[in-house]
Amino acid sequence: MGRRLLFLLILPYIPSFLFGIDINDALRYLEKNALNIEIITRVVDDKGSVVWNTEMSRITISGKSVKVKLSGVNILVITDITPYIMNDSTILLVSQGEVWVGSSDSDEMVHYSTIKSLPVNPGESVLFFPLGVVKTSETKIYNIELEIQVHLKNDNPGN
Amino acid sequence: MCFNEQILSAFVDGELSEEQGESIESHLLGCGACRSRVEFYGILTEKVKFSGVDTSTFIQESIWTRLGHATSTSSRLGFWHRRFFLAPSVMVSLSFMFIAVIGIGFFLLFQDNGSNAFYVSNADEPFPSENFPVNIPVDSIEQILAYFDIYDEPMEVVIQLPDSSSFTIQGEPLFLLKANYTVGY
Repeated sequence: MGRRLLFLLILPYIPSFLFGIDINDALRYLEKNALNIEIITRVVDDKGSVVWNTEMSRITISGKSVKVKLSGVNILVITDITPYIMNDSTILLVSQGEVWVGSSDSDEMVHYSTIKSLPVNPGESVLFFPLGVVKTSETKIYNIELEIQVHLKNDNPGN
Repeated sequence: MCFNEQILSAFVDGELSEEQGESIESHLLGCGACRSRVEFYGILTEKVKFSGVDTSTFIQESIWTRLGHATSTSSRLGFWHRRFFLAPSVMVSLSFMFIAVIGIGFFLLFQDNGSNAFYVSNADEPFPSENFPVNIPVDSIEQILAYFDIYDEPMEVVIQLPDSSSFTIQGEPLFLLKANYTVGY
């Protein structure tokens, strides 16, 4: 009788114990599990010299993609980068790239699409060449390369 | 020989035959004890008769039902004729527990935290953030909360070449680890 009465008294408070979420705990969880994606975009000439570059970064979490849109005089590159934190603390980087390149001589436009999954360690660099890799060329050409790094939020030396 | 209570009660109520009544009357002349009991039954009958007790039909049925249940073990007493009994100690314990629960509830409800007992939302007043401290660095909060904001748009970069050159396709787009890339870098 006493146990039943005690259970009836405690019963209304059980849902709050099970489902109560503190906003501070949620923020601390995000801070602990957030990922920082750093992207360095470079324009390189045929000699390998960097003629233009920019750096950007964005905070995300596992499974949430970060989109980068590069636009030039005759080019549009949309890169979708989705990191996934694996059980062994490595990161599976799923990268999708779409490239639209227009021809200066005609109205034609070439479209390429690629998707690749790469297991990387935190801080390890991944390169994305939306126009491919320049092998040899006698004319002056420019190439675009993106260097992508994924850092665990708490391991980022910049924070 | 004295008569039993049942016979004397029936004699007082006039339920015996004439012969039985005469037999009892002759006995009462010589037995003081029986005479006292007959007088007692007579007084009792008069008191009940003139007490003005209004016995409703329900009460009469309840009494007969209880008597029937008391005399027969096979019959089951109906719900409305049952009598529920709790030990005094149990009742006292339950009462104190109920009072304690009510008291704790009122205490928690009216606990003074520097504000009114019932929170009244007022959009014109600033929310006192110092009542809800967040032990996270400010810059980290801004970065984390930006994720929940509308900052879901792609990061846009406009590339400008130093001269009027345009880009040309060199090959298929390529993703690879920097450690595996050695040509031209």
